[in-house]
Amino acid sequence: MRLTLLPLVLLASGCDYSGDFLFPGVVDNVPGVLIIPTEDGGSVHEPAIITNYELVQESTIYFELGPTGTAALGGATLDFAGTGDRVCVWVDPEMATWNQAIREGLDPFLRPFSYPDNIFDDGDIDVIGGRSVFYTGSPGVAMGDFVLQYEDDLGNEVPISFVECTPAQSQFDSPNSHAGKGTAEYCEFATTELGVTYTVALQTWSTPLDDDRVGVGVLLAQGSCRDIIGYADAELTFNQGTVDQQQLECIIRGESIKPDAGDAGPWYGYDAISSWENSVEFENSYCFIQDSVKLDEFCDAEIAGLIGLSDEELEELAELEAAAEDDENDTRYAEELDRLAAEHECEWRGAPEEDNRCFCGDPDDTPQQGAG
Amino acid sequence: MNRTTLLAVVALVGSTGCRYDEGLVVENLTGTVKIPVAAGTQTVVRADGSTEELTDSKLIGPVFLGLYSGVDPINVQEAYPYPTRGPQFRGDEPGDTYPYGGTTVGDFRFPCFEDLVCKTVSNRFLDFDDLVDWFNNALGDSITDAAGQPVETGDYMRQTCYDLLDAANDEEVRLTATDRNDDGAVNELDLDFVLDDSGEFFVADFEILQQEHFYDQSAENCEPGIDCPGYTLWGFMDTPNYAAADDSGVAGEGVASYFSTCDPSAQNSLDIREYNVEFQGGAFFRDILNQPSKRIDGGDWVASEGYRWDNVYEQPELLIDFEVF
Repeated sequence: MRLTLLPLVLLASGCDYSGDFLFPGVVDNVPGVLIIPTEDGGSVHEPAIITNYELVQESTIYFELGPTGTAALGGATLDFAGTGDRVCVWVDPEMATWNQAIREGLDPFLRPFSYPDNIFDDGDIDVIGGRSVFYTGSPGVAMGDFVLQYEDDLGNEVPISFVECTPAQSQFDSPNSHAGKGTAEYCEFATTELGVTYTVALQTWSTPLDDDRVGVGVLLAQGSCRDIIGYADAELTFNQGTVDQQQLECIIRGESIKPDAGDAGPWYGYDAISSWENSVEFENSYCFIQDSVKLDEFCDAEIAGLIGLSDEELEELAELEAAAEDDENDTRYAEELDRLAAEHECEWRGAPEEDNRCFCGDPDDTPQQGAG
Repeated sequence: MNRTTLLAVVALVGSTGCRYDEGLVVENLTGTVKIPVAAGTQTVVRADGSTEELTDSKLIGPVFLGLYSGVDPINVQEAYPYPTRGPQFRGDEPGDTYPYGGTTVGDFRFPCFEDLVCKTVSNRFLDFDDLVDWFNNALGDSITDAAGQPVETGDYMRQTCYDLLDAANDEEVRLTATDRNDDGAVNELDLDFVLDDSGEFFVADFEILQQEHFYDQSAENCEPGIDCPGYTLWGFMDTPNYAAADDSGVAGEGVASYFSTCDPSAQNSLDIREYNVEFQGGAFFRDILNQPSKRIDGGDWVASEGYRWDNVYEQPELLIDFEVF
């Protein structure tokens, strides 16, 4: 008898299965689906005219996204008016990620990446765009795409993607594919028509594991996206040989937004946001920006509790170091380093707080060569 | 219900599952393509200024065959008969024809010399001597090797191919004919296109593998794949443009190639990187069946009428008889 009922129970529960329980719950005051308004509260943006990196920073819109609380896709939409020309959309989700290179640092380029990444603080946003009339989502309510059914001469339905803005850059430098977790991506409308409204859909592929709120920076600009990289390079000066993927991460900086209990944005311009302390310095290191410390050095300093010290504290530390060099019996410098390391603890898995926010991963997670 | 009954029910469900008919009609489609001799005839102007009218199946480029929902006559979609299109929504980009499937007769093969990228089609040459002779003498467009030296013998080309492809025989290079008709000799009858008995047409067989049948959804009282109005077979031939190649240089650097359907720097083409040789072998553009008009230009030939393929067991003869100007 019990055996007979089992299939019925399974069948009944199967019909009711939504999978929602597999997804993170809603985060208070952080939208799962967002309409990005213009700065004056309007709904149709005008792509910015960018001629230097300062304008990139001024024109970037920042906001936070959270889970929808269900299996439904979340994200944000942004409408803009066609300019009659090329339009670039650039998006950068919190924060930066890399694969740990476990081979020891013979390669000067790979050496910084021998440090593990904090895999808990990265979200993933995918960008597509097309004419608003073809957008299948309900802005602010449910995300959609640009796929419609076309009926051919024989009456067979053919799904057609009306996407006009597909990502030009991915982690693997492959066109028409999205960049991965924590990685910036961009797409270009090759041309836009005056008087036509276009929609950009920023789909939340994943939110950070630590706090389920992903900070995002998005830039809508007239012209080519490659020009944007040029403006950034002119201002920031990437080290020679820095590959595109590193450079892309620093076009939009500061997207690691410090949570505010009652506000998830949007904020307009780099100066309007409150990013986690040292997050921009971390990005600078990741991007190989000239005069920034190398990424592994940043990570070493972070785990040692040296990141974020005030100028006075650093000065005192330098004095202790000098004293230790003069007198080998002076242990104050070593004791101070021990104290700082002991006081500083990284919180990787849970929601970070002011004094335990770490951008690099747990060095104890480093695999050994030959581990398989 | 006892356990035995339950097991019997499960066995019954399982056995019916094995016999489940998805209702799909999937068949290998076969037929022939006919092209007028005029399409394989060109007046060649050689580098030394001499001219000659040549008629040869080597002048027949790759033939593209697609299965479409319909084909419009001349001056509806284009100035030549053309498959019906879906909506055009991306600037000047022509609408997609959304083909159900297709194939080609002849394929771009790795040519072993950069000088020949996008100039060599499979099953147009009997052997390497035939190939070298065609370019050097018939066309007067001498082949050069990686060092810029003239390639004068088929043996030298064969050896170069073997070296670059790590091949041990001609079949592995796939550039020249094999004894396809099993008559014990490799000759003109083993090429894709063979002159028919009338001497008026080049004829080739084609096969479209594992093609799902699509038919008119409004048709009633008919059997799909047998007598329901089905898709339409249509195709075109990319005629080699030797005039464009007279001022040839390095393929892929903005210099015209023989064939408009060949992408000299296609990502899926063979990329050779040896210490003294570095080039990509060229391959078809990826959108040819979807947007044929992007690749069809003056001198190419298209089918003036498509063949509506209702019965998948029929073996149609598609005539590619309309020259595009």
